[in-house]
Amino acid sequence: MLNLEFLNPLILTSLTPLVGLLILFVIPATKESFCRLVALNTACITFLFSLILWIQFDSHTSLFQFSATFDWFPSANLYYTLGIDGISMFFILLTTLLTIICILVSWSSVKFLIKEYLICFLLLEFFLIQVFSVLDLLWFYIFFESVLIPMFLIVGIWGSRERKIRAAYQFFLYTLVGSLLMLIALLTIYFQVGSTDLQILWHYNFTEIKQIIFWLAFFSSFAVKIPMIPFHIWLPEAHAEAPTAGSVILAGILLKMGGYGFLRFSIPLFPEACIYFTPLIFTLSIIAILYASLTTLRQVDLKKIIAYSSVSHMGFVTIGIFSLNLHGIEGSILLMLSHGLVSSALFLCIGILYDRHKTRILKYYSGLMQVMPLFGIFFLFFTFANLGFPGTSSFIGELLVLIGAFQLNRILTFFASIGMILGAAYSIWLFNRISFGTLKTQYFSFFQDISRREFWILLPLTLLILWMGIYPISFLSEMHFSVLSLIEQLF
Amino acid sequence: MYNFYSILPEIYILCNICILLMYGVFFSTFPSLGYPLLNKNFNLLVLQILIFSFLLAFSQTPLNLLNWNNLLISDFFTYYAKLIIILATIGWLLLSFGYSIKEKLNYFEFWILVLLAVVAMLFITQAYDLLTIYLTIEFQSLIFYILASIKRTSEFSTEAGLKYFILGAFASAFLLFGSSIVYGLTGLTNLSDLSKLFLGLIGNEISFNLIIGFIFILVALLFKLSAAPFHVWSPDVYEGAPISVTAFFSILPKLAILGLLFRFLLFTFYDFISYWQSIILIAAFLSILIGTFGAFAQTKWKRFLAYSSINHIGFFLLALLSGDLNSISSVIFYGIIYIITMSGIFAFTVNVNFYAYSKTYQLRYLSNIKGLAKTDPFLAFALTIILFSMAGIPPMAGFFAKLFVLLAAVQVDAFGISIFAVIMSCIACFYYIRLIKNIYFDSVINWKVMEPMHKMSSLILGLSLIGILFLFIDVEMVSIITLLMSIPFLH
Repeated sequence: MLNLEFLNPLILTSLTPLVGLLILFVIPATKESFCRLVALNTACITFLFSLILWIQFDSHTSLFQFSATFDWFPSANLYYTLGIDGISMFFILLTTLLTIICILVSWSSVKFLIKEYLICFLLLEFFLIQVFSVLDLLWFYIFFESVLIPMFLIVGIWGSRERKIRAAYQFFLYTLVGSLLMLIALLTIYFQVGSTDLQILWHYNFTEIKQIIFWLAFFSSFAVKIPMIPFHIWLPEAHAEAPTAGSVILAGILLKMGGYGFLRFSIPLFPEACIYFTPLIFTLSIIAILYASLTTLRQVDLKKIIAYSSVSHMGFVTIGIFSLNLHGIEGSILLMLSHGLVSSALFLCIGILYDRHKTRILKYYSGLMQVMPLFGIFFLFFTFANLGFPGTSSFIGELLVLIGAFQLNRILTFFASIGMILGAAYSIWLFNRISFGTLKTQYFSFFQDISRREFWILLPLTLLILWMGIYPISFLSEMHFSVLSLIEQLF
Repeated sequence: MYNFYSILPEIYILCNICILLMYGVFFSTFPSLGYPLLNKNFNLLVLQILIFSFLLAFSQTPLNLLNWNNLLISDFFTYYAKLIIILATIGWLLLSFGYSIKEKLNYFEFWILVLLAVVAMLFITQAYDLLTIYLTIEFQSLIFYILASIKRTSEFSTEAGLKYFILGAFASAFLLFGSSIVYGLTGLTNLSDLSKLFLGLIGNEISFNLIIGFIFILVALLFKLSAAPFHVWSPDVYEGAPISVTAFFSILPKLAILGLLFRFLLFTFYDFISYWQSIILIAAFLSILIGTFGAFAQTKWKRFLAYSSINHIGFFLLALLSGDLNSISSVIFYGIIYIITMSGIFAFTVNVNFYAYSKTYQLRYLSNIKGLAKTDPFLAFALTIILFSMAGIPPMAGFFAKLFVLLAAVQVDAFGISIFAVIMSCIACFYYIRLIKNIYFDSVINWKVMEPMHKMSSLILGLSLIGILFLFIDVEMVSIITLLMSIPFLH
């Protein structure tokens, strides 16, 4: 008899990358185009399955949907539980979408070890989907850490310069140090409660002092991942040295794991500690917004500019999360999604430039609008999306975050808004320097506008950003109930 | 009383040793056959003997029995420990198959010594009396001294054997001295009698001399385990001995000695817990510290692995701290995974040979593996997985081993040492991923030809890889065995 439980779209979504990975394993590495096709098809099928998730998703409940539990270690009361709610669903969609884009973008730019490259990406996709769908603290930790392995290899092997090794090291060790403290907290929680199942933990009340200690341990891991300002050193390095697709997935999804961790674990498990630490978070976020924006202004590496602007946007996200009201949290989720699209798109644009001219230093580029009009238009659009222009997705996200913050603290909102102005400053200045002015033909004399493949990569991102900016309710309505129940757990 | 059945595998191996010895002595001195080299022949015969003795050990029933005048015990622990030891020896035999041919290690005595060592280890797991403990440990140590210096023509090997002998003799003397103090004060040598005598003793009721005797025994055991601060011999011996012997030293004896440590600490001297806990704590602390920082400075594989195993010993001792059922089962779990991992990594290090023009040389320096990803992608992949596992990155087996050890430590509120261990394992990560960097990222100047590995050792490498990669699917299976093995140590 057919076991219908396996037709659960969540399980299908999580298993498809693994199936593709197994098929890739048996294909000889010399058949490169076939490898690419298999990986692309796997990613597309995964994306379709994840769309089914959205279609079948019931937005009128805050319960976990498509949930499935497997016995993993029943004698120690450890189970493998999957399930999604309004918070995690869009992250899964973002993961599956960006994986397709990553595979497409490296279609011709990756020159060696292609099979291994594709395996790394499918493995990464699998781990990320698990991170966002697993409802068990231990398994969350396992997948949260596992992400390091493929990402470390992607940065280290296919990165572009010699500095990549240093970048890969920093990325690996920063994240590891942060999350190992979380491991101790996790073990203590498991020892105290006797289970790591999230739904059980949500109903457990920790004492205040324990909440504070656990919160700090979790914070060390999530803050490195987001990254908050004192822990952000790895990010510009890793972004700048990773291949384009690596930067896309790093900015698009890996950074969101921290925000997701705050939403999923820190807030519901340690509500009192969250309120206790709100000033700390706000201070760090304001510093992040202002400092990262100002740092962005003086960067000369295109990728580092986007990386620092990510840090500044993530400052908005943390403000939104810890404003602990509906507007703030929904805004921060939307801002994370939007940042996943916008910064990925910007990295793609820079990847396009890098593929053509093999440099990312700002000095060599100027006046590209004259020779690459299509590229210029896309770049203009994404730049405006990055600065939060009305009509784009970032605007909605930042607006909601600011509304949420305004209810708490006006000074905070004032400084955060300054961040928006600075964001406009560095974004437009970046665009100006690249696209306008005279062509520097002493450096480059051959130009080529974006190819058809690149056009079709960028177009869906543009449309999505517009959709999210013009009609955000189709996203927000799915998460209302989940976010409301999250806030209920606080008070 | 004299239960031959309980030591059937040992008797079987001993009988076979006699036959093999006669066979070897007669045939290798046979002029009409041209003094044949019996090495390969012996290897296969020993393999056969081990397989049969495995079957014999497997067919025994795990009963809790004291026999041979209460000198030996057989219970669940000895049953499974015997199986694991014999299996590990079979694995070791397969991985050193190609090595002994290539290095012309043409002494048939080598294999007989190995068999004798196996017998000694099987007896150590069963020893239940101070007398048998001393005899079996001495039996094992003497064979190890010879094994370390088996390569008669090599200075290093002789030096290693001598160092091992002198220092090991000290440890044996300590063991004997401690045992005689305990015997002199109590008049008892049987472990269970001693445990009955000590039952319920409180701190100041224990005589100072008895504690001195106990500490002497403990120090000797820690020496045999190569735990810091009694570790100094191990890097030198590991380096000097032929590498297949090094593999033997590092894979096999740990579990047997650990079993003895369990019997001492958690059964006989359990009421001395306030004394031994601090000793074990210090030993664990120093082992982790020295193992981690010692491995940093190494450039040679053997010394690197020696320090790495000292680090692992630190984790064994860390789990022993709490001294309850969970801690024993987590130590055994770690032990099993340690054996699997070490088999894998030694299958690699023992058998990799390079050919640079005009001569073949063995893998000796850590930097020898540069560019392995290009010359042999699959081997590079296997080594990467094993190294990630040793570093404790999920979802490899090494992570679960460390997880359970830390859980056991957290249960007795040993937070300080847990956080220390976690931070140290993070630092340890640094040198494990340095090797991965060597494999994948580094550019190579002098390309070397790698000779293909021997079939048997690639079998072992593959098996260990499967164990490491897929253990997470069914951790419970292993943990049931470890729980069964820890039952006999309950009070």
